[in-house]
Amino acid sequence: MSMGPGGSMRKCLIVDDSTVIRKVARRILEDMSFAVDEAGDGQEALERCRKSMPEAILLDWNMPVMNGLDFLRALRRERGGGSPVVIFCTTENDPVEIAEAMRAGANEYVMKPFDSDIMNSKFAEVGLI
Amino acid sequence: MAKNLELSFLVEIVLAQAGQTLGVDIESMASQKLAALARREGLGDSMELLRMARTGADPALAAAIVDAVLPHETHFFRDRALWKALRNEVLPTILSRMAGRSSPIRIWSAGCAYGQEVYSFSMAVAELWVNTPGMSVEIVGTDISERAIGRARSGIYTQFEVQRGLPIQMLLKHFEREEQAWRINNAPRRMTRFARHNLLADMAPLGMFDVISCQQVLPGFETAKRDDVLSRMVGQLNAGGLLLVGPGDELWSRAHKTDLHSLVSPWIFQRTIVQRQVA
Repeated sequence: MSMGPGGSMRKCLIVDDSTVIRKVARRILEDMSFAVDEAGDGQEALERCRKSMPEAILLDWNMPVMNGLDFLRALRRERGGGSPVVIFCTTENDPVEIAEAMRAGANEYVMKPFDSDIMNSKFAEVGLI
Repeated sequence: MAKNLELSFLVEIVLAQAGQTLGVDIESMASQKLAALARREGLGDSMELLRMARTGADPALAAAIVDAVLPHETHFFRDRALWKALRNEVLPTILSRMAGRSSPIRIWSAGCAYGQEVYSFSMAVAELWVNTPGMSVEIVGTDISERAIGRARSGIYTQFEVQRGLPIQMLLKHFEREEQAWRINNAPRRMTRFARHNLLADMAPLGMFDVISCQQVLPGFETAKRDDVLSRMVGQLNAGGLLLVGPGDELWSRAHKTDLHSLVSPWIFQRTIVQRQVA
């Protein structure tokens, strides 16, 4: 169960240009008791964050308009943008690229494909469940 | 009726060879877990496989059946609370207490399956190593399954396996990518040693240990065998050594209260300093 300090459900923003991935991830995260919001690219995600900063962001790398890495760097410069826990979720599995994502401010990293065990493990690792 | 004979035979060989009891719905479990082995042997299904093994013509076949039905599921840093206590309190205390000892600190992962717990220990020790130079640590992983030990020894894990329990920073630090899999680096690997060992057999050849971890293994044992295994395992602990069990196992471990006392968490026991008298 993922609850914020006031007992409200924690919010997780899923950022991925694939509707299938968003649907699968939403089901897993809702089972983990997150309130889920979605964005199809980095620019859309940034606009949503400016309106309301989520507790967690599940972030794809390769997306149109603005990719995940550019979004993350922009997010961390935003007011309050240091607070969301960001977990990359991407097909990129080269150690050099993973290290680059971590340097850019990611808190954890999921290599696709994923399942609910992996999601639970990664969200527990960053202290969100 | 014939089916009952095959299933009874399965229960019998698993108990005799591994001391383990099988749960409910054995038929469905057998059909699921033995299908691949039956195919490899060119047999129609799990019942045909059990019928063939029951003839006793091929003892290796019975061993392969036992191996196939035993659970090998595990992951890195399994049981977050236990590992938090181990990494933050228990291992640093042990390493500093034993600094300067001439013989290596010895850790035994009993029933290690594919070795994730062994490498969890070696990575945890490697991360603490900087504060305790010159110390020698040996982590021994044993399992009844030769197949599991082979995989553990390879130190190669799938992308799914390295994402269960292993933080990404530890993956980057201690593993290298090898095609679609990940291989543990030499530094944590050098501390490890693997051997096939049945917990029902003599444990003395394995030597004495400072830490013995037996997670998720004891619940499968038939009661008398479980008590015997636990008792002999305590006998392999050095005075002041630690026994780590899984959640739920603490009740059985507490039965050995003359030898053990609880430490840090309900699943970490310390062997009393006074050695038992050997009869």
